[in-house]
Amino acid sequence: MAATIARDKRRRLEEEEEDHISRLPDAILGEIISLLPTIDGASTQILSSRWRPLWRSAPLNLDLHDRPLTRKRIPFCDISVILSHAGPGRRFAIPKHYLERNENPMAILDILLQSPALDNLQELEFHCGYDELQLLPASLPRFSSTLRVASIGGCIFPLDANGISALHMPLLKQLSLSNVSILESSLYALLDGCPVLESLLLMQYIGCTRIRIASGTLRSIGVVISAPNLYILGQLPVDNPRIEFGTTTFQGSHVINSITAVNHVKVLALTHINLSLDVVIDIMKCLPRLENLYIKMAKKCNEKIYVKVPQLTL
Amino acid sequence: MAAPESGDGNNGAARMVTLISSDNTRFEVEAAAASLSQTLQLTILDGGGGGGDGIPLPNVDSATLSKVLEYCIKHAPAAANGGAPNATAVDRAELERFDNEFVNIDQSVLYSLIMAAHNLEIEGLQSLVAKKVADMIKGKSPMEIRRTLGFPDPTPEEQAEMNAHMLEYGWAYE
Repeated sequence: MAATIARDKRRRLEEEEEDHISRLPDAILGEIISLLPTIDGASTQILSSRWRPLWRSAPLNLDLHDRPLTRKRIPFCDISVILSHAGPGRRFAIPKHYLERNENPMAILDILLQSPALDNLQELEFHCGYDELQLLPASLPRFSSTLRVASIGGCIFPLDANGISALHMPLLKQLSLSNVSILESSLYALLDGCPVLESLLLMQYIGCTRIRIASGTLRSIGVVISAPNLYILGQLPVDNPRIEFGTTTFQGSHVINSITAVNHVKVLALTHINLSLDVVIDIMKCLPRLENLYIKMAKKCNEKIYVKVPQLTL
Repeated sequence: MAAPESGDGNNGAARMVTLISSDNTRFEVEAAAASLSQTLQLTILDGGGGGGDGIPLPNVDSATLSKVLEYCIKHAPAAANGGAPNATAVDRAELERFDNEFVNIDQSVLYSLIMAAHNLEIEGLQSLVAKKVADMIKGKSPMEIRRTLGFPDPTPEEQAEMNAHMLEYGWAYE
């Protein structure tokens, strides 16, 4: 014991002489560590007993997007560092390639989500991969009162709408669903539970054939219908979608019915195989407040391009 | 004591102030450059540092102060333009080149610079030096970081403890 103290003393003296950066005050070291990518920041705990508590005292921002897979580090295993963080959690983002390689990705995700390091999490992003959709993690509701941003991918939402209504998220402003299976009724229950939602993005496969959304708060959406404050209409993930804005109805890119103009839409993106100038003009007539129009000509196959646009100039 | 001038001396000769390092070296510098320091700004606005007075800086030695002032003089014009919205791309590129070269320094100098930037509260310099250290750490294994930052060689006990942590955190051995 005495020998240990003497050695520590000697080591401290050595550090004072030789170790310049390590002599910086904790506050400055903490600031430096907070600039590091997550895993690099966590790794600084190993450096010395002096550095060990620094990373843990800052709010956890664990974003694995910035963590390159190198041969030096064993993939996934080092994510266990989050279990040692004291929390609170600010952001947890785990990209697809981490989870889809595992036999039971949802079990792993669920263990991580239960970590006290993620208490009071504000931003959550995960994707379980495309191969086999996974049932939504059971621990998700524990963040429902603190989440502001959620991005969920590769999941099956519970078939019972009551299961969804447990997900009341009073602070959620951004919601993104990608490649999920959700019943229409469950989606409505989910949206009902998000009273301040401003941005909704539905990408790739969404397991319902028809969606009607009524919202007083949405400002940006990726699949639409009756949202009075809507100003961005993103690309629709279905062929020939039927969209209704009040009394105006579009089927695909054709205007079926238009009694009153749609005044709120300012940004419109069109991706279509058979887009003609007439169609574009018809749409623009219905959207008098349109400020930005994006048109992307899609190829149907490699050899032939089916685009009919007679010298479209705008 | 010099009376504060309006417009920071843009009309006619620029107002100068004197800073005195811990080893009693006097530095005469434009008030606009020294005012990049939040700590000095109020004193200078009050008319301090002019004439024969000088502002003593007991925590900053002359080598470090000279380096700090090199940064302030270079960055003062952009700061006067309110964070350089009017700056051209060429100006910005030149400042970036200057910054990169500026922190390409010996670690003991970097240490003193970090301490001085915090004592004097020079925001731009604080983030520049913090980013430099972060870049020195980024992407390295714990042993590499220890070597880079000049930690003493670990004792066998410390090495064993580190190895255990490395295993726990999923580091493969180099």
